Amino acid sequence: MKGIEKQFPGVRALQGVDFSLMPGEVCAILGENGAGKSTLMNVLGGVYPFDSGSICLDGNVVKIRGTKDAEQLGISFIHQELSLFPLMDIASNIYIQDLPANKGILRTKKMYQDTKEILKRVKLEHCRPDQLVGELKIGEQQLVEIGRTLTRGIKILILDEPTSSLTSSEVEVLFQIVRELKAQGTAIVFITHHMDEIYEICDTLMIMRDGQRIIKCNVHDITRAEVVNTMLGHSAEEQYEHPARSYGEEVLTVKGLTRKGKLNNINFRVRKGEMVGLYGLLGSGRTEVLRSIFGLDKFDSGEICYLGKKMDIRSPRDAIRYGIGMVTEDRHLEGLLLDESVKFNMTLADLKSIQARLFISPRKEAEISRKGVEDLRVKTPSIKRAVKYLSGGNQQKVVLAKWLNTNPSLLLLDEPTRGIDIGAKQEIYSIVESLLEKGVAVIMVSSEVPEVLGVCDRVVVLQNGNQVCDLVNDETLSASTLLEAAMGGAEL
Amino acid sequence: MKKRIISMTLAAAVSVGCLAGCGGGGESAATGSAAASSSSSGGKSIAVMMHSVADEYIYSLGSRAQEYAESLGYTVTFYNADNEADTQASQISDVIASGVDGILLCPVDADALSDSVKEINEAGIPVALADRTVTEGDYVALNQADNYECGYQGAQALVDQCKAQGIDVKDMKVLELMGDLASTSGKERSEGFQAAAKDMGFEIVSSLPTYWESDTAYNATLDALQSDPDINAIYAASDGVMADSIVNALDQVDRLAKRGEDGHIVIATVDGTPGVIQYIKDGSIDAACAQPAYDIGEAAIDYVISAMEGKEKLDACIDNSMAPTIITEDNADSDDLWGNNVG
Amino acid sequence: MSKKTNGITADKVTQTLLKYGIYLLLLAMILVLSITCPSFRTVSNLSNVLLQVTTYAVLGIGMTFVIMTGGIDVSIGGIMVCCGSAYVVMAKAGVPAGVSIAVMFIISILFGVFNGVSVAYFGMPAFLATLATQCVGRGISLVLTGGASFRDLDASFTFFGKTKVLTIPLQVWVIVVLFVIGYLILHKTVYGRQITAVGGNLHAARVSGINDRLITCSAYVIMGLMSGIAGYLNMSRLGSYYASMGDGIEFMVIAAVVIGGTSMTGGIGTMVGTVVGTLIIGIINNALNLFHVAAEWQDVAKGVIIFLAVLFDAFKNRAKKSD
Repeated sequence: MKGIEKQFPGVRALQGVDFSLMPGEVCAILGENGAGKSTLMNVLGGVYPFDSGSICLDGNVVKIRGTKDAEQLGISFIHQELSLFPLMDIASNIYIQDLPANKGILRTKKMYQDTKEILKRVKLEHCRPDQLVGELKIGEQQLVEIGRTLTRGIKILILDEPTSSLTSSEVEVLFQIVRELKAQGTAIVFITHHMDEIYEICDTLMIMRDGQRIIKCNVHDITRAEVVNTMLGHSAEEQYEHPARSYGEEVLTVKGLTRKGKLNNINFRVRKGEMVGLYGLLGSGRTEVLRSIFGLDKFDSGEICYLGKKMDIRSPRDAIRYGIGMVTEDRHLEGLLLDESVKFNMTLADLKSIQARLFISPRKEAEISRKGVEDLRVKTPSIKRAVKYLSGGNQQKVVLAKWLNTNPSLLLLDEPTRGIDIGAKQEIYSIVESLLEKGVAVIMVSSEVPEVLGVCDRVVVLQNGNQVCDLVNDETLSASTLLEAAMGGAEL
Repeated sequence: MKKRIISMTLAAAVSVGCLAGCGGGGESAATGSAAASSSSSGGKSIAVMMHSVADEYIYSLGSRAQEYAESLGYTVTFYNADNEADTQASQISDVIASGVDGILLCPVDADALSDSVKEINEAGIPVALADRTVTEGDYVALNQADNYECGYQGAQALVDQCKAQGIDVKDMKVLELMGDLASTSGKERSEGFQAAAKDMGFEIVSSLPTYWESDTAYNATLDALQSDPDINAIYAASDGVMADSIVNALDQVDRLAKRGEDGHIVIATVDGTPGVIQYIKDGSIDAACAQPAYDIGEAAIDYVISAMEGKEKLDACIDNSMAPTIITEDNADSDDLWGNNVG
Repeated sequence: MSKKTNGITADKVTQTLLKYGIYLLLLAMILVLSITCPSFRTVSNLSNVLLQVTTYAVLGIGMTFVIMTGGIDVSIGGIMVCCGSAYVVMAKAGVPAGVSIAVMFIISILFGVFNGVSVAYFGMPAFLATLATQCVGRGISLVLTGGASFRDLDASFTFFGKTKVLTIPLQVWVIVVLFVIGYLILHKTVYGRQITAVGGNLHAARVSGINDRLITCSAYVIMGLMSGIAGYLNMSRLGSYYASMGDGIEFMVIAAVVIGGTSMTGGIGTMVGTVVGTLIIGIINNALNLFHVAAEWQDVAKGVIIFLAVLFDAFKNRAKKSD
C-alpha cells in the first residue's frame, strides 16, 4: 500500500500512509483510538474506498472496490464484532458464501465432512459441524469465523482486536493457528492494545498516530516503554498504581446468590470507598453477578443486602432508587443512544433532575451536561454532538457521567476500559479514584489481570458460576495466583 | 346500445312478475306460520348465502329474500361469508352435505367461487345467483342490478331535474364522483353515465375517483368546487358512501342551497339508501336511482323455487338484469323503496 | 486541489439538501402549484387542504409516538369505526350525547390499552397484535350497526364540523392545538425523552432505569385516544357514521409519518416532520383533483410521489450511517 489517503467529512483519516507486508510476516498495528489503524485495514479489506494512493499485491496493482474483491484477492478481515449467524449450524456458517451444491441442492454430507477438516485446523475438534453457532462460546465463535476464511486461499489475514473477548487458553489456541498460517506463508495483521501479545506473536509492528505512519520496525528493536511513548506522542506514566484508600461501613452484602445454571452460592461484600474486583474467565458468571444486583437478571435464591437491609430489586429502576449505577459491558448495546446528543445521554438516568414543572428545562439540562463534560474531561465540540461521533473513551466517559449524575453510593462497572486507548483508561481510573475518595463503593468486572491487580482492593474470583476465593489485594497477590484460581488450578 | 335494449326488455318482463310476487309476499307474510305448515313446499329448505352484510343494500336484499322464502313456507338458513371466498366455499360444501333443496348465492368472487358452483351443479341442487356472477358453472338465473343502466338512468334523472330547475342541458356543468374503477359496479356505472352525457349532450367538467370512500368523496367535492366554481350539477355513483359527504362538503364551503333556492346544485345519485331519501325529502338532493334490492331478492327466490318445481332448467343461466327505480320527491315516501324499510 | 474543495462544498450541499429535503419538497410543491394552478393559491383552497388532512393529521400525531418507540399500529381504522358504532348504539338508545361522546373516547383509550399491553407486556409483534385489534374493532362495529350508516348526530358534531373561526374551520384549529400539545410532549417533556430513549435503544433505556414497558404501552394508549378523536372529527365533518370509516387509512398515515422523517426502527423523528409529511400527502391529493387527473393515473401518481419521498428518506439514512 502506497500513499493511501482517506478523507471522512471533517477529518483526514489517513494521510499518505505506506504499508507493506512480506509473506509469513505477522505485523501488529498500534495506535490510540482514532489513529487510523482500523481505517487503514478497512481500506485494505475493501470496506471503505480510498481517495488516493495505490495497493499492490504480489507486485501487481490491484483494485479493491468492495469486500468481495478483497476476498477474491485472498485478503480476509475478521472484525471485532463477529458476522456469524447464531441460529445456523457451524458448517453452514463456514460455507455460507460458497455453499457446496449440486444443481441447487445442498450437498450436506460433503459440507459436514469438509467442515470437520476445518474444525480440526482451528482446534475445535470437540465441536460437531451441525452444532448451532449460537451455542458456542465467544472464543469458539471467533475460531469458527477464522475457519471460514480458511475455506478460501488466504494471503493476508487481518484480525481486529482478536483477543479482547478471549480467555487465555483461547488466546493460546488462536496463536497456534496464527503460527501455522504463518508457516504456510500467510501474512497476518493484528490490531491490538495488548503489549504482551505483540511480543509473543508478532515479527514487526507499525505505530500510527493521527492518520500517519510513525514507525514500522522489528518488534525486538523497540522497548515497551518506547512503544507506549511513540503511540502517545509523549512519555506515559506507569499504568496502574492506586493510592491508599480508607473504607467506611458496609454498603452491599451478597449472600448465597444463586441462579440456576449460571451462578452458585456467591458471597461477598463491599464497603464505602472500597473497590472490589470480580475476576474470572469468559462465562465464569462475573457479568451475571452484576446484572443480578442491578435487577437486569432474576436470581433463584440468596439475598442482597444494602446498608444492612434486604433489598427487593426487580428492575434497574429499583436499583437506581437505592443509589446503584451500572456501566454495562457493551456501551453501544446497553449504554448509549448513539444517534442522540451528549446531553441527552448524560441526563438519561436521572430525568427528574432536568424537569421543571411539566417540561424539560434546557437550562438545567445544559448545566448538568456541561458539568459532566468538564468534570470528566469529555472531548466533544458541544454537548449537542451526537455521541456516535465521539471516540470510544469519550463515549465511556459519557456513560460514566450519566451515572455520576444520579449520585450513586454503589457503582457497578463491567469491563469499563475495554476497547479504550491507554490515555482514556488512565482518566477513567482517576475518575473512579475520586469517587472512591468520596466514599462511593465500586464493584468492577474485568478480564485483565493487570487491571484487577492495579486498581482493586479485593478480588473475588469466579469460575464456572462458583466463587473460588475472595482475596485481599496486597503485594503478595500475584497475577499467576488469580489466573490459577480462575482456571480452576489443576487443568491446563 | 344493444346491451341497453336487451337489459331494458328483460327488466320490464321481470318487473311484471315481481309486482305479482310482491303482492303475494305481503299476503303470505301475514299468515306466515300457517303457510309454512300447509303449503306445497312440504318443509323444503333453501340456503340464502350472502357474500357479506356490510352495507344496507346487500343486507336488505338478503333479508328480504329470507323473509320472502319463509313466507312461502320454506325453511331458510342464512349464511354470511364476510367477503371471504374461502369461507363461502366451505359454507357451500356444508350446505350441499346437509342436503338442502335450493340455494340463493351472492358469490364473493366470480373466479374463486366457480368450482363451488360446479359442486352444487354436480349435487343437482338448483342455484340462483344474486348481485354478482361466477365465471364458470351453471345456474338458473343471475339476478342483478344493471349497473350500466344505473349510470345511464342517473344521468337521465339529473337532466330531468336540471330542466325542472330551469337549467338547459347545454348549460349543465357536471361533476362526476366515480366509485372505484377497479370494481365492476364502479366501472359500469361510470360507463353508463358517460355514454348518457354524450347521448344527451351535457358537459362533465370533472370526473374524480372516490374509491367508495366517504372521506375521499368529501375531499373530491371540495377540490372540484375549488377548480371549477361554476359546477351546477353533481352525479355520485353511490349515495350510501357519498350523499353525506357531498351535502356536508357543500355546506362547508357555503354552496348548499335547497331545491328551488338560488344557487342550488342539482344532485343525482345511485343506490337509494335511507339517507338519500331523507335528503330528497328535505331538498338537498334531487334524485336517486334506487337499486331494486327487494325485487332482486324475490326474483332470485322465485327462480330457485321454479327450478325446484321443475319449471325452469337448472342450467338455464337466465340473465335477469333489473333496471333501477328512480326516486324523486314525488315517490320518496313509497313503501316499495327498500330504503324506506331499513333500520 | 481545487477538485477536492469542490467535493467538500458539493458534499455540504448534499448534506443540507438531505437534512431539509422534506421541507424543501413541500415548499417546491407549493411554489410550483401556486404558479401553475390559479385555483390552488386561494385562501379557500388552503382551508380545504387543511380540512382534508385533519384525519391523517390527528392519527399522524399518535402514530409518531408509536413509531418513535419502534412500534407500529395498524388498528387505528378499526378503533375509529368501532368508537363511531358505539356512539350510534348509544344515540339510538337515547343516551345523552355528552355521555355517549365520553364513552366513545373511553372505548378508544381501552383499545389503546389493549394494544399497548399486548405489545409491551405480552411481547406480541406490534403489527400482528394491532392487526388483530383492527379486525375486532371492525367486526364489533358491524355487529353493533349491521353495516348501516347513521346520520342523526348530536349538535356538537355539527358544531365541530361546520363552525369556522377566522375563516378557518374549527377542526383545523383543533388539529393545530393537538399538534402543539404533541410537539411539546414529544420534544419538551421527560416523557418524550423516555419515548425517544426506548425507541432509540431499548436496552440502554432499561439500564438507565426507564420503565420501558409502561412507556411503550403508553404510546399505544395515546394512539388509541387519537383514533377516537379522529373518528369523532371524521363523523362531524361528513355528518354521518358509515361502516367503511377509516378503512385502509393506517398505511397512508404511516407513509405520512415516515415521509416526515420518523424512522421505522424508532428513536428518530419529529412532530414537525409528521405535519410536513401529512401536508405533502394532502397537497398531492388536492392537486391531482384540481388538475382533473384521471382516476387511473391518480393512483400511479400518488404511488410514485410516495415512493420518491421514502426513497429520499432511505438515502438520507444511508448517508447518515456512512458518517
